[in-house]
Amino acid sequence: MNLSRRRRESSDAPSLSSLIDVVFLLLAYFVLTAAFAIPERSLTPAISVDGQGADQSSDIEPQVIQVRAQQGQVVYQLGAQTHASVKELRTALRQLPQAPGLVIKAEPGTPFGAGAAAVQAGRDIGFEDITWSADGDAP
Amino acid sequence: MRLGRGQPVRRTPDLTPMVDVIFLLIVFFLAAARLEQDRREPVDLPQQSGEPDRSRGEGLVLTLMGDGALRIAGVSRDIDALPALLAEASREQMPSVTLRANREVDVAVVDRVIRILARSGVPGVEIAVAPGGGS
Repeated sequence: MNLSRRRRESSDAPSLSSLIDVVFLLLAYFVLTAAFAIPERSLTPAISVDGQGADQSSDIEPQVIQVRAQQGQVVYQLGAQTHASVKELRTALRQLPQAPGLVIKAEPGTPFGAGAAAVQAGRDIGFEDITWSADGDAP
Repeated sequence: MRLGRGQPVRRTPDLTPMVDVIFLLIVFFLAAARLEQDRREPVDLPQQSGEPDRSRGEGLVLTLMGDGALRIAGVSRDIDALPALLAEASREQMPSVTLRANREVDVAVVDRVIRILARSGVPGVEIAVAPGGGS
């Protein structure tokens, strides 16, 4: 009878559990150590050149935020008011009607991030129509 | 003969194909993650919450480095060559334009690019931002 021999063969088969354990450990190691790319997001303003091609279809003048550098600090000028931070700018924007839209004009010498912060402030308040207006006088 | 009715032999399932598949999955996900990471050049983007990236990097992606250099698809380009490039890209349809600019780059450089885009008929840009910052 060959039964005893067969049984011995089946019990001698190497267990793969340890191999699978190692594989899962490797998987966990690579997943934890891999530096995954952080998904980028975006702001989507319209663009125009100052004095050219801006939407003139409406009689209502949009609010204009001027981003400028003043004594080494970035300030946001909205009408006659100057705001030293985006938080202050947001508070001022809340008082304004949103229908006319918002135009962002950033002066040369200011960092791009400050202009992007102004676009974000407008979006946060609920302005749908935001335009980034580039200086038309520069070459 | 009672051989046929003997004690059934326990057979352990062969796990080798499963282990193969797991290894292939590991390799696939690691390679895919690495490619996704390398596709975009590292830039210190403005830290704003923004909105979900609608174009997902498709269309024309303009990268403005901290020194004001323009890079497109990993290649340095002269900003003055942008109109010709846009004319070529917009033969059939104006592509969506994503602007990935370093947050410290001078607005004068960004405005220069935006002037070219606006004059070429691009209605708007997607300004890439990195979530996690703000105010």
